[in-house]
Formats: sequence, C-alpha cells, structure tokens
Amino acid sequence: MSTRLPTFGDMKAQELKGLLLDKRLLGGGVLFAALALYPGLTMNAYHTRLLAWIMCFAIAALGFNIVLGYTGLLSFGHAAFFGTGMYTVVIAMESAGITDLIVLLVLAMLAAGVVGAVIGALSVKTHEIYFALLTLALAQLLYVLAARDVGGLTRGTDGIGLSRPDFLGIPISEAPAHIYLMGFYYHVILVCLFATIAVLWLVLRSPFGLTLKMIRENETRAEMSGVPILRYRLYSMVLSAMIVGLAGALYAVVVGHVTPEYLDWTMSGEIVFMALLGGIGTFLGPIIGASGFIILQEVALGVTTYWHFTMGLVLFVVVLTLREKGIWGGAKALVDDLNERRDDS
Amino acid sequence: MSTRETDSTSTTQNASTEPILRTENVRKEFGNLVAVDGVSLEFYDDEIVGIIGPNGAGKTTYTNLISGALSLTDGTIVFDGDDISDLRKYKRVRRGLVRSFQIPQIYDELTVFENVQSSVLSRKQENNRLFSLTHRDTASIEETERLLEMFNLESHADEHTEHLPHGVRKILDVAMSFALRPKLMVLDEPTSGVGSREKNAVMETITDAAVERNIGLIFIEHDMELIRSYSDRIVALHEGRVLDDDDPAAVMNSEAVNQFILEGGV
Amino acid sequence: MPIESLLVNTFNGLYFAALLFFASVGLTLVFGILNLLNMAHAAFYGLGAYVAVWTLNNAGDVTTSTVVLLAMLVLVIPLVVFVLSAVLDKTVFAPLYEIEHVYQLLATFGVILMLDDVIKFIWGASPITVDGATDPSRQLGAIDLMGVSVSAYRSFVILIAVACAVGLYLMFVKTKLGKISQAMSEDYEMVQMLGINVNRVRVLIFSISVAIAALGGALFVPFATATPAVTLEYVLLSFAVIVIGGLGSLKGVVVAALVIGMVRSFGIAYFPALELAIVFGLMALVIIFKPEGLFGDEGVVE
Ligand SMILES: Nc1ncnc2c1ncn2[C@@H]1O[C@H](COP(=O)(O)OP(=O)(O)OP(=O)(O)O)[C@@H](O)[C@H]1O
Ligand SMILES: [Mg+2]
Repeated sequence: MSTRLPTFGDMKAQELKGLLLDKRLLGGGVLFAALALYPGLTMNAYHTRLLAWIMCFAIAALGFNIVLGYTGLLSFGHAAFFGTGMYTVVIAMESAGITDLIVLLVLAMLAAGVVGAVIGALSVKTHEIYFALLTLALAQLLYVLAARDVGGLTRGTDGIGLSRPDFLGIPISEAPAHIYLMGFYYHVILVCLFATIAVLWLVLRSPFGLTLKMIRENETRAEMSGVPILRYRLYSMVLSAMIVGLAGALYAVVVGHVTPEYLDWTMSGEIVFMALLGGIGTFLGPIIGASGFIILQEVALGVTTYWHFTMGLVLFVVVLTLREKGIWGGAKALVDDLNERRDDS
Repeated sequence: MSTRETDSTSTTQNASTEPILRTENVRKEFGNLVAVDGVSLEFYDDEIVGIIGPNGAGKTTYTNLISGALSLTDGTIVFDGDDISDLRKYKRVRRGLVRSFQIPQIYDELTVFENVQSSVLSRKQENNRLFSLTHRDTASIEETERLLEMFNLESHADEHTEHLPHGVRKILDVAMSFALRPKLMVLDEPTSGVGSREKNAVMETITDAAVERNIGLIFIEHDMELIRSYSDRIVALHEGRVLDDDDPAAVMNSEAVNQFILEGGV
Repeated sequence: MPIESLLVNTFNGLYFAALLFFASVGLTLVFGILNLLNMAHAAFYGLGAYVAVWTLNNAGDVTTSTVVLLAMLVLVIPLVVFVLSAVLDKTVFAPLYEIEHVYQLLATFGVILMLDDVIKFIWGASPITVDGATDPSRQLGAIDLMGVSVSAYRSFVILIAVACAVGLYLMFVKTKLGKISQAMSEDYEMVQMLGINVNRVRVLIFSISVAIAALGGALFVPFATATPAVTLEYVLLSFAVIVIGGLGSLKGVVVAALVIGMVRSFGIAYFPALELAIVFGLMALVIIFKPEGLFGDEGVVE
C-alpha cells in the first residue's frame, strides 16, 4: 500500500513546455515576483507586516479548506492545529534550544500532524454538526489545558515570548527587527505560501484529491466503490493539520508572542470565516478570503472601534447569499454569466 | 428484442462449479421484526437471478446484508470461497462483490466522466496516489472512455450529473459499478423510476454488459414482465423467507407465489 | 467539616446548573422544534446580563425595593427581550431556517460578532457591575440551609430555574402550543400540511427560548460582572450542555446542566486547573460514544 512515486517522469517534454506557458502559472510567477520585490522596493514596514500576516493566514485557510471544501467536513477545531504550530516553535526554542527555522517549521508540522491524527481519529466517524461540535470540544480541551498550564509548558494565559530563529546556521536573528522581517522572514513566508499552493494544487488534482471529493459528494457510493472512507477522512485531517500547523509556526515569529488565544474556538471561527469568505468551493478562494478578512479588519479597525460588527455582518451576508461560492466563486460565476450573455447577443 | 430466455440454456447445468455467492441461514432482526428469516441461497457467476416479493418482503434488507451495509443477526455469507460475514463493506467491494442502488448514488458535483473515472481508480486502489494528475492518467482515462462507450454515455461525458435525466443517472450508477470489475453484481430495482419504454433498454444494456464481462447478476424487480424476460432463475421472497427458487416458468406457475406475490398486487 | 463543604459545593453546583439551564434550554428547543442551530443563542444570555446591570443601576434612582428589583429581573427583562426576539425572528433569523445546519452555525457566528459590538456600543468594552444599593443578592443576604449558611439570592435563582423547567414541561404536555411544537419536532412538514400556522408557533418558541436565556443572564449578574467574555463562555458551555443532554431534549438539558453544574462546582473546589477540561472532555466523550446524547433519541419531553 505504498504511495506511488511522483509520475512527473511520465510527462513528455512537450507537455512540460505547455505547462510553463499556462496562463495560471504565468500569473502565479508574476504575482510571486511582485510580492517578493514589494518590501525592497517600497521599504514600507507596515505593508510588509500586513502582507506577512495575510500570507500566514492564506496558508491556514488553504489547509483548512482541504477538510471543508474537499472532504466536506466542517471542523470548528482548527485552532488546535494553528496553536500547536505556534507553541511547538516557541517551546522548541525555549526548552530545547532549537534555533534553526527549517527544523522548527518541520517540527511544528509534525506536531500539528500528530494532533490532527488524534483529533481526526476520534472524530472522523461523526457527521456534520456532530463533527463540528466534536472538533470544537477537543480543540477547546487543548485550549483549556494550555490556558491553565496543565503540562507546565505553556505558562498559562500570559503566554510565551519568542526570539527570532536563525536560518541554516546564519545568525540572521541578530539583524535589526525590520531587516529581519523585510529582508528575510517575509520571503520565507512567501516561499512557504507558494510551495503550499503548488503542492495542494497537485495533490487535489490527483487520485487522492478525487477520492476526497468522492467522500464529500457521496459517502455511500465512495464506500461501495471500495474506498475506506474513514481512513481517507483521517488522511485529509492530518494533511490539513500539518499545513495549518505550518501557518501557525510561521505566524508565531511574526507576532513574537504565543498565547492560548490562538487555540481558542474564536480562532477556529476566524479560519472558517476566511475560507468561507473567499469561497470553499474553489481552490484559490481561501487565499482571497484570508486577504479579504485581514484587509477588512484593518480597514474597519481604522475607521471604527466596532469592527466586529462589520465582520459579523459580512459573514452573515456571505453565508446567506454566496454560500460555498464565497466572493471568489461569486465573482467567477458573475464573469461566466456576463460572458454567456455577451455570446448570446 | 432478444430476451435472455432463449440463451439461458446454460443455467441449470452448473451444479459442478462452485457458487460465487452462498448465504447460509442468513437472518436479520430489527427489534422484534424479523426482516430476513433464515435465507439460504446460492448464486453462480454465469447466471442472472431475479428476486421478487411483495413490499416489505425483505429484499432490500437481504441485499444490504450481502453488501455489508447491515450486519447479520445470524448466518454466514460465503463469497468466492471465503467467509465474508464480518468483512467491512469496502473490502467486499474489493473482492468483487458490488451492488448498485435503488436511488442512484452518484457524485453530483463531478462530471459523468469523473464519476466513472473515480470508480476505475478506486478499483485499481490508486486512491492514495498523491502526485499525479488524474486528467493525465492515460490508463484510467482510456478505461473510462471504453466504459462510457459501453453504456452509451459518451455524449454526457463532460456534463455535471445534477441535471441528467433519471434514466441516465441509473445507467451511470450501473456503469460505475461495472467499472469496479465485479464478479457478482447485486442490483436493487435497476429500472425503478425509469419510464416504461426505457425499461427494456436499460435492462438490455445491463445484461449485455454482464454477459460480455462474465459477471453474475442478481436483480430485484417488481415488474414481472422484466423478471420473466431477463432472469435465468427467480427467487421469490415472502416475509423474510424463500418461498420459491426455480426457473422462471416454474416460479411463475407456483401456487404459493401466485397466492402471495402475483395476486397480492406487486 | 467535609459534610459541610459537600453541602456548600452541592448548593453551588445547583446554582451553576440553574444558570446553565437558562442559557441552554432555548438552544435545544429551537434546534429540536424549529431545526435551527443558533450559535448566537447564548449571546442573549450575555445581553440579559448587560440589560440587568443597566436596569438595576438606573432603578436605584426610583426604588431599592427588593421585590421590585427581582420583578424587573424575572419579569420585565424577559418580556422586553421576548418582544425584541420576535422582531429578530421575523428579520435577522428568518432566512436562516431555510439553510443547512453548518451554514446556520456560521451565519449565527456572524450574529455573535454583531451582538458583541452592539453591546460594546451601548455599554462600553469594560466590565460593568451592579451597585451595592440595588444588588438584590446583597439585600437578601444569607439563609441557613441544614446548618450551612448559603446565599438567599442563589436559592431564589435555583427556585426560578425549577419553576421554569416545570413550566416548560407543563407547556409541552398541556397546552396546544406545546403539543403542536412536539408534533413539529417529529414531523415539521406534516404539521405544515395540516394547515397550522407554523410561523406563529416558530416566533413563539423562538422568543420564549431567547427570553429564557436573557432571564438567565439577568439573574446571573448581581453576583458577577457583565463582560463581553460572558457571551463567549456561555456559547461554549451551552453547547456542551445540549450535546451531553441530547439535542432537542428538555429532560436532557436539565440532567446535563446538573452534571456540568456539579462538575464545575466540585471541580473548582478540588481540581481547579481541570474543571473546564472535564466539561469539554465529557462533551467529547458523549459525542464519540453516544452522539445522540443522554436523551436525544427521545422526543422533547419524554
Ligand atoms: N433499518 C430498518 N429498521 C427497522 N426496520 C426495517 C429497517 N429496514 C427495513 N425494515 C423493515 O424490514 C422489512 C423488510 O424491508 P425491506 O426494505 O427489506 O423490504 P423490500 O422487500 O425491499 O420492500 P420493497 O419492495 O418495498 O422495497 C420491512 O418491514 C421494513 O419495514
Ligand atoms: Mg426494497
């Protein structure tokens, strides 16, 4: 039952060429370049920070959408994975003295994957709201344990401050804060985001991704096609948890302080919110959603202290009008609609 | 229109070969209700068996026991020489015991092509392939194309299944089951909800495919005409028990069957 | 001594249970009868708390009579919220009845966010408390219960909760509204087909449910401060209660509120670090091993 190796080898040179000229790939490349150059060109620390923040949550929302958008399970406990990613980094640095960023990120993904496997194993048998409520309860259990510092690792609600990790033995953490972020760490996040996009794009178009959609669309049929559905639900939880854990780990260094708040159910709610806002029925929707959420929050916060109201209203309206399409899917549908009308006339 | 009666000469001569499926004293209780009450039957991989019985006779329950959707209260199920009584659903499917559904079970947000391809990939147990694109997987694509052709679904290949006519959905459901290359297929009312003019065409497609691929067929049906035309053998169930099990002519003439099933208005 | 602390903890457990009952009974009824999963339900508990502090503090100018103050908490505030929620049912919540549970959950999460700011807009972001002069819990003082001194006000809250549970039970078995509601919880379409005005039943059940949550918040507040966190805490606790009791069951809410009330009270006394962990652990265990909850496979009042 080993996973077959990548079959890129099967691809002919010609196909590869076609792939390179693909519009989406070209667009992605341009966007990557623009984002990579932005901090250096503008020297705007505020924007860089905001972009770093957005990109972290874009990764989280993408990871979350594996479970909601592809496998069809509403998890209300993804804060557990985000928070685990954050705490793994800070505890590994503080207690184990690990300072290399790559090691920290890998550790965070593994830890989140383990938590995902445990929560997944306990919850994949349940359905719909029971799945939502069970993941909520289990994640909240983790929150309570961290907030009360039950294991003696988390320092309770005060949280733990965190120093900056180094990279491949280079003592880059000694650089001034804004250089560290704008010259180095921002780009690490950028690379992680695009790597996540590339990997997920492939994985979700593979037989594995199709299997998740089968389970979402019709569990009975999937099982009667010989698919062990519980096992695949679990796989999707673990994959999702690892990616969300990576997002948490990256974000920990951006904020520099880890508290139990990031394990709380309102955090899970925000991740769900972002994915839904952008559109869980589309691949890129969650990225749009994370950007929309954070920009909206920043704008609303600038104008009024009552940004919760704005966010709540947006969520309410999006759920009622666009449902799984979100703003990205809604915009796509609108464009299709306009094209059709133009063709008709 | 060719019916199976004419080429059903091979039915009764199979006593020497092993049955593909054997149920021994199979029993299912729901609380106080005994839905299936000690059913022992044998099925072979080169025959088409029709199951008849009034509403509530236990036909669907019996197929659910075979597929593993329900657990046995008592009895044994032997498939292809192995006891599968306690085997998980998906494992039975992997061994070649496949069922289709009274209400078509298909993936609504996927295209007809993807529906069939997903079954092909599942049969090959390639669900865990992570880094290859399904739309470039030539092996499964070719097989899917052949299946679509076999069931006359090519013209719908790129449509989403939501808006397909009911008859096409039924055929798609069967095509997906065939993609699993079963040794034995159990069809629960394959023509229910299909227009009466289409019924024969649907049955024709299914039985032709079964004969071509050497697949044993069990089908539940309320339409006596269809049963008579397409079965090599008929099993009559009544109140969870086997009332009769014989070739079509004999069953149709049996007194008990006439009394409990045919006259009861099916 | 141990007997005394046992009694005190049991009494406090009953008090917690009473509050949990108020906060969650409507949530389970609205789900069981109207098939709406309203995450924002407990936000009305929070709202009740704020309204109560505001009412009591302003009442000080007119009267400090304990009876009047208690009547305001028990009658006036729930009535006002009843009317308010009837309006909300016809407006904000109306479209939610048509959508799937998971979307209901998300849309009402949006409602929580909105209500949170409405509260902050009116009363500010910092915690507010009842003035000593108009605090009925101080006015009433302590009473002697089997040799232990306990708060008279808390005893009053427990009695109101019992009355409320009995009242709901009688409503379901005796009144026409209750019988129709029970029928709706079993077969909504059927009731609709019988020509019964389901919208009227809906608005009544919804408003009663929300008013009880507000009553709970109002009764809670003389002893505690009203903060935005109250809403978030009770949203979670009320879900724990209805999941453990079984979605849609009145008996389940009573039993689960008692269980969690006792766990909290004894937990705070004996394992303070683990008190909430036990609650969520219990909630998880119930979903894993008995997803229908303790009484969820039965009707509303069986
Ligand atoms: N899950 C279940 N729980 C309780 N009773 C059941 C269940 N499934 C079936 N039954 C009962 O078992 C009996 C047999 O039902 P079954 O569906 O097998 O009949 P059937 O022969 O398929 O009927 P039909 O021709 O109407 O499809 C019926 O009395 C039915 O009510
Ligand atoms: Mg049936």
